Amino acid sequence: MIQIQHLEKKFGKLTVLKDVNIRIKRGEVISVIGPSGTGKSTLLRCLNLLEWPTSGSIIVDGEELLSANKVDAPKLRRKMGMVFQSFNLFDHLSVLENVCIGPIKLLGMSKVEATRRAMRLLKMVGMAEKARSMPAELSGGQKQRAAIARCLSMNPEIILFDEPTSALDPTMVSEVLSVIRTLAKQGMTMVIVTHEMSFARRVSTRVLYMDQGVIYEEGSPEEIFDHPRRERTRVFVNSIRDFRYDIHSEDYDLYAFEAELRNFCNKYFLSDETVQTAVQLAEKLLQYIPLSQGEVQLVFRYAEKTGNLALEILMPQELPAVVDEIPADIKTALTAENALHEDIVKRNDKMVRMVKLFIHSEK
Amino acid sequence: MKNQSLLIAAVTALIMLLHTGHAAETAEQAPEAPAMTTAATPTATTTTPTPEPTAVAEAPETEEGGVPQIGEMDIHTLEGKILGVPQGTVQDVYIEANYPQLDLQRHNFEADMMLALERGMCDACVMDDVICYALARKKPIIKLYEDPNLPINYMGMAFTKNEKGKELSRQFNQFLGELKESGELEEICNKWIHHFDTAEMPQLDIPTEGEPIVVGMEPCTEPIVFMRNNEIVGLDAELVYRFAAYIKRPIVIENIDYYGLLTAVAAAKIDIAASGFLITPDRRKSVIFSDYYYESKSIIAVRDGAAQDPYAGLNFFERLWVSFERNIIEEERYMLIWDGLLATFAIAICSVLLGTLVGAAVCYLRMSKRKALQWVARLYIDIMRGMPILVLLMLMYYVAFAGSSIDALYVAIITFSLNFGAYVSEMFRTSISSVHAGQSEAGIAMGFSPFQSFYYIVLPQAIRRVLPVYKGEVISLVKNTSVVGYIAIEDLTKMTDLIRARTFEPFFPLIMVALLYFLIAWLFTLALDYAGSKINTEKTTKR
Repeated sequence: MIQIQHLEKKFGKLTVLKDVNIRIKRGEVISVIGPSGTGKSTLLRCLNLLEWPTSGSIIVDGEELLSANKVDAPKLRRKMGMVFQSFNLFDHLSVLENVCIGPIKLLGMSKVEATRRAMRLLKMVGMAEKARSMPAELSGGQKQRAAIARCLSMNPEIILFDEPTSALDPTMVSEVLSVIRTLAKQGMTMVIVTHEMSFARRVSTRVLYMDQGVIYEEGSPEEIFDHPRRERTRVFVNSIRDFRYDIHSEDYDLYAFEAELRNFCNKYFLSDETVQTAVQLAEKLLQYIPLSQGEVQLVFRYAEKTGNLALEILMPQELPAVVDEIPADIKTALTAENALHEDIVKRNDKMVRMVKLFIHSEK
Repeated sequence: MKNQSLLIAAVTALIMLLHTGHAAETAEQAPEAPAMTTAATPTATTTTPTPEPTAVAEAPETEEGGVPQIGEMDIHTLEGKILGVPQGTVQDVYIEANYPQLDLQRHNFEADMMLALERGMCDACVMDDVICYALARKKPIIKLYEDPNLPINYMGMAFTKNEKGKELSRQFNQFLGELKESGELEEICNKWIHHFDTAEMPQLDIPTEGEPIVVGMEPCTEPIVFMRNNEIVGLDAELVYRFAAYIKRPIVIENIDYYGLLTAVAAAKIDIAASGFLITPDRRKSVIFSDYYYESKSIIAVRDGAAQDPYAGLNFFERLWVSFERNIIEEERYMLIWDGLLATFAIAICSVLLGTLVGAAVCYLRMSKRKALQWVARLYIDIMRGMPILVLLMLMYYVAFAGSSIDALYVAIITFSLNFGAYVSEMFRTSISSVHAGQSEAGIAMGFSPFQSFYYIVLPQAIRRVLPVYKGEVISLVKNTSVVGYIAIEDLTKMTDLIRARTFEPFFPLIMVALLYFLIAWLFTLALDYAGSKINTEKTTKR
């Protein structure tokens, strides 16, 4: 259906895409994963010509887009829907009008017919009840579902999703992902740029790992997530993100700590609940550590692949062991999944005592 | 008001400089002092009306043709008092130069000066005798004095300094000479100066075909030229009509602000400026003056007694009614107001429509990707916003459209459109750029062309955002149109001036004009609110 060859895109001197080659077949669900700033979004935007590629070729249904100067971009884009990270619902129109405007103005559909279809689509994404609402009255997840309905209203042959859940509150991610999953089941061809590893794994027929402007590795979800062949893919899918916070005294700023931790968790779409648990746990534990005697470092580690968040507390060797002192009720107050164990490791030639806690698994 | 006149004076000077450059040699040949050239003619002395000796005998109370008594006084006795003078006149310049110890209060408008005197805002004022008889008749509490030391002035008509103007002024002088010879001039002068309220314009045989002489006048001064029963009458009016009949050409009267008249004639916008102009060497530098037709003494008007309110003893509603009757009903003056209202409304609505288009175009350039176009738009906006609208108006009328026969109304509409466009283009730009880029991108990604995306998606949102500020700008435009009187347009403000010049009352005409401006602004607000709600209901109230 779509064939991309040697695609290159430069912004001034910066090369964002270099030599990208992809074939997209009808009915495929392709997830594009990879670190930030490797050109995933640019690739999508080049595909529907929102950005004009510097060189290479894009062939859609046997028609070369880039060589012909007279390519009808609006016509191409009607076949190729796009769902944005920031939803981009038309703010001055109600949900229903958002879904109707394309068919009426572009497909020449009658108002009655367009409304009938729009209501059907809104029902499908669970937004029929909100048809008369204005975008400003909706939650992020509702906006994104309305945006998907709007996209479907044009009867696209393929939908490009540009990080559809990145701007969403963690609690709303799943409602949007469910809608996308439904579309996948119906056989819609889709390209999804996402940070949701587990979602990518479940929904896609093929996964592209992009790094530094090229398709670094591609394969089935199992191949990419369980048996990555190449080094950087392996690092990425197994990567553990950590967040460190140093505490110098008893009078540490609890709120600053909490805010930074929340930022970190939001970045990886951990739920509010997890943040709350993590903050409470850290706060309680710190009560049993004599903070006045030396520097203590809190390290939160998040494994994207498994969705596990762990807390390590690093402190000087000379500090007394604390784990034994932690009352049993706090230990049991932690969720059943939480494990508590102690380790001594050698870091930077300095013996540290480490308390390691397993906080929560998201998935 | 005062600032405005200073401004006008500055622009006038500039324009005169521009226009007199080529006429420098002819100016050299022109005689320097008007008095010397004309006073030498034997008829000169006989033409001037002689009010003093005979006047004393007649009682000031006589209704018809009463010549008020004129005493003598030394202007030095006014030291320490506030002395009103008409701004920029010979008296102003003379007193300023010769009696620096006097405290001067400058007025634009004789009627306003009289009012200030009557209400106690000044203690005395100086003016030409030609005007003072009319004033003294209307205001019995004002007594007139003359000081032999004050200058005698000569009134003449002003012509453009070019071949055409020279020829016309020659014809006029010939016409005037014949009038003086036959004694008719003296009769005409006497008729208007002493019987201004009953004097009739003569029946004349003025052709309607042919190239008209265009005469600029400000009909705000009894008895020289003023509005009566909504017609322009007065000494100067009769003279120019008679002149038109004499040279057998049609005549067109342009109503131009006094301070713009000489500029207009210097810029060849009009053929003759006639509103009791005193001949001065300064003015001779930019225009050609005819021989004088009236010799005018300077008269000092002093309030006799305490400051007075002409409506004393009446309650508010009675006052209102009397004032209403006098200013609006009498002589069907409401027709003047109506015409002024139409002119103001026409200028405002045309400028809003045209200016919005200009604004859209400038906004398009300003938001263009091409740097050069951006700069053009920025320059335009900066210049237009940096210039007082009145200056722009004068420049357009006297420089840009100098010598073209375009109607002043169009000049005003063009000027206000240009100005309005500059202001609203920036409003448009900010409201368009305040619409998130994602909105238009989402439209484009759906298959809308960039233009469709702008039209269906960005524009409705931008309009909704711009409407509140746009409304404010429209209202400010409506009010700004009040300066068009300076370029020969009889708008609402100008018409009020004309009425005030006759009735010497500020209250009703000013309140009325304020209400009318408010009404126009309010109508515009309603219209825009309606348009705004149209846009909004279409999009939101289906809930």
